[in-house]
Amino acid sequence: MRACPPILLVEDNPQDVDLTLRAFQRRKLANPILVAWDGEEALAWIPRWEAGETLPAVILLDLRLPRIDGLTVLRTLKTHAALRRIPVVVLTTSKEDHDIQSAYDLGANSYIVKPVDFNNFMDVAQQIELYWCALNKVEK
Amino acid sequence: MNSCKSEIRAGIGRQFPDRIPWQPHYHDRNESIFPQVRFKIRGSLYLLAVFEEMKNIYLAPGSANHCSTRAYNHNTKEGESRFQTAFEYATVGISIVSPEGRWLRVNRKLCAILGYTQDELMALTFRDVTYPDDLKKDSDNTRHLLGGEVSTFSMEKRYIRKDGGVIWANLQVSLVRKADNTPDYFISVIEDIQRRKKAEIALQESREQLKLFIEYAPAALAMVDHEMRYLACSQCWRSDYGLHGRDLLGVSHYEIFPEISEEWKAIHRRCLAGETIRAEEDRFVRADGSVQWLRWEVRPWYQGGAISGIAMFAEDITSRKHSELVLQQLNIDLEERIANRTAELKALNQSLEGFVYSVSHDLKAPLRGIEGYSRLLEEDYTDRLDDEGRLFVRNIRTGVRRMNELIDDLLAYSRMERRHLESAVLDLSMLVKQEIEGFREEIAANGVEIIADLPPLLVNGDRDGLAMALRNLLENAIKFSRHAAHPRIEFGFVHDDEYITLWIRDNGIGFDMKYSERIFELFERLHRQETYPGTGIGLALIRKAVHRMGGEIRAQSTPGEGATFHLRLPRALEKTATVMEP
Repeated sequence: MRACPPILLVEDNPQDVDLTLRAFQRRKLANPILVAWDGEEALAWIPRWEAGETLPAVILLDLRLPRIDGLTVLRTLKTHAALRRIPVVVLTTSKEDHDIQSAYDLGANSYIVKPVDFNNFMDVAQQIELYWCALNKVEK
Repeated sequence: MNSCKSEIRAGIGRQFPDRIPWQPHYHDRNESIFPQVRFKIRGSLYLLAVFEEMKNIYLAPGSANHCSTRAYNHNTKEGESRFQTAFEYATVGISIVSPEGRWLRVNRKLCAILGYTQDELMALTFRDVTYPDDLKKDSDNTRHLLGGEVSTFSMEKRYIRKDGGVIWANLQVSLVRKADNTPDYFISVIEDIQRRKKAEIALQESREQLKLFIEYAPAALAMVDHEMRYLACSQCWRSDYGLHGRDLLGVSHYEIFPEISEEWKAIHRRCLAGETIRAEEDRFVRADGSVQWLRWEVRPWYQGGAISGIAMFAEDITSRKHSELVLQQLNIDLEERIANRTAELKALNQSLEGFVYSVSHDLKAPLRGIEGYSRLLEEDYTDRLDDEGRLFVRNIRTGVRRMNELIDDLLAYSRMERRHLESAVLDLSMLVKQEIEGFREEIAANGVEIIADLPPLLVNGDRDGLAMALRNLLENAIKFSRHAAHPRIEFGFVHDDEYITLWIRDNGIGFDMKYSERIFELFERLHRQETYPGTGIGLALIRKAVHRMGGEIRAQSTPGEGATFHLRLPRALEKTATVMEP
């Protein structure tokens, strides 16, 4: 059995990062979690993946990010010949139609609104883990 | 007979000194010498001879050089009757009139012209049948004739027919004198010229009309001949070109306007060659520098198929053009203002969108932190908190939930304000059924009786907006009738040609009608959070959605007796008609 591929969390809010880590921890998630604190850091992973580093099982992407916003990160990933098959789940606060449509138009694999209620958030974390890390077989 | 001959000869010599048009003529080559007069009828020369005391009158075509009675032997009965016939059936009216004016002999044609029988006419004088206005001239002429001043006269005059009608005739009169030179009788030839005269009058009238028409035309009009000489022009033309009081007839256009441009001369030449040239609007700078706008046209006019000159038309459209330009400028200004306003609104809208974006993204993040950490505190540190501490944490989390609901509802309201509505034909009764289905659990839990027996109700509206409105109304009805002994929610409708009004009635707590408007305002609430929780946004959201669909919502209630909400929406007319058919 190969080592579990990581999950890349792109999130600038430390509390959100902390709560997300805790939610995954409580659900006993096996995948290691990498954090990119803004869009720039997220895109900095691209050369490393191109160089052969293990691809993430899923990228959890916030839209509202400093420096480079989430939609730009999404567009860059989804237009990258080799990396466009990495599942990207937009995990954000906005319910605005405009945001949802833009995300799907750019190729987001899923769009999840972060629930305020922590219990609900833990449910979401579990679903993400189940669907994107355990069930979903990404082409290598 | 011979003595008679010489008498006649002498008489004729006296009577007809003029040769034209009444040319006395006699000859005795075959012993038939009688006074003869020549006269012209419609350009042809005729001979008239009267002899044997007017018993015989001779009329025959003749010529200036050759006329003769030779062919007719007056001594024979046959000859007499032929002369008689010629007189009687002549195509002109002929009469012999006494010096006093009495008719002595009249022919058939004259009777026909005047509409009398011979006997009737013989009983009258020429004065009786002469049109009063022409009588004096006729009498004067006759007097001159009797006085020997003239030997003959001819005039155009009017006669009054027996039927009262007035006719124009050409009268030629000659006087025959006796041997002693006293007047014997008049010979009058009367030609009916009514048709010619009518045509002349009509022509004159139409000329007058045309002249008036041109003169008073409310446009500058002028007609010139081939040499550009004026034939006619309107008063407008004179006033427009400062030609008041000048007699333009026969004067050349170029003489009046010596400074006229070569361009115009070229246009005139082209039109004289058969072209019609016009301009809908043409700008001219006048001598004083002011600008004049003209609409003009120059076209040839024809006579007998050939170009005889040109007609010129010009209309000063300066004031109209000025108004147009002003209007155009106003439109440009207006468009600019609209563009500016649109840009302002767009900017405003963008800042609003930015605001909403911030709210939806940023406002909830700290809330999530508070919620998450208070939850962790409650779960992981519950043993280190006392009862009061745990109550505080719960209160924090209740506040967070409320804040979350508020933000959600506010964003929903803002979305409703900004989103593009899809207008579709929707069946209200179907939407009601769906929403009832969505509340099945609450309805069952609260034991609510639902009465919603609706026929298809087709309206024009936005599906999501309408579903949201119905959902909120139903939610309210359930919420506020929860404490009734037997909660009941009833749906019904009324309609007219334009609208369908759906009503939803509950038997809940109701409200005072003084709040019937306020409840639709944002954040307006009538109850405490503990009894009936809510954000105070629901009804405002409904009204926003319904207004945007062209509908209305209003509420009716008596405290303690439930509330009724009336939702009025534009009816989908065509579809309704097809639904009504079986």
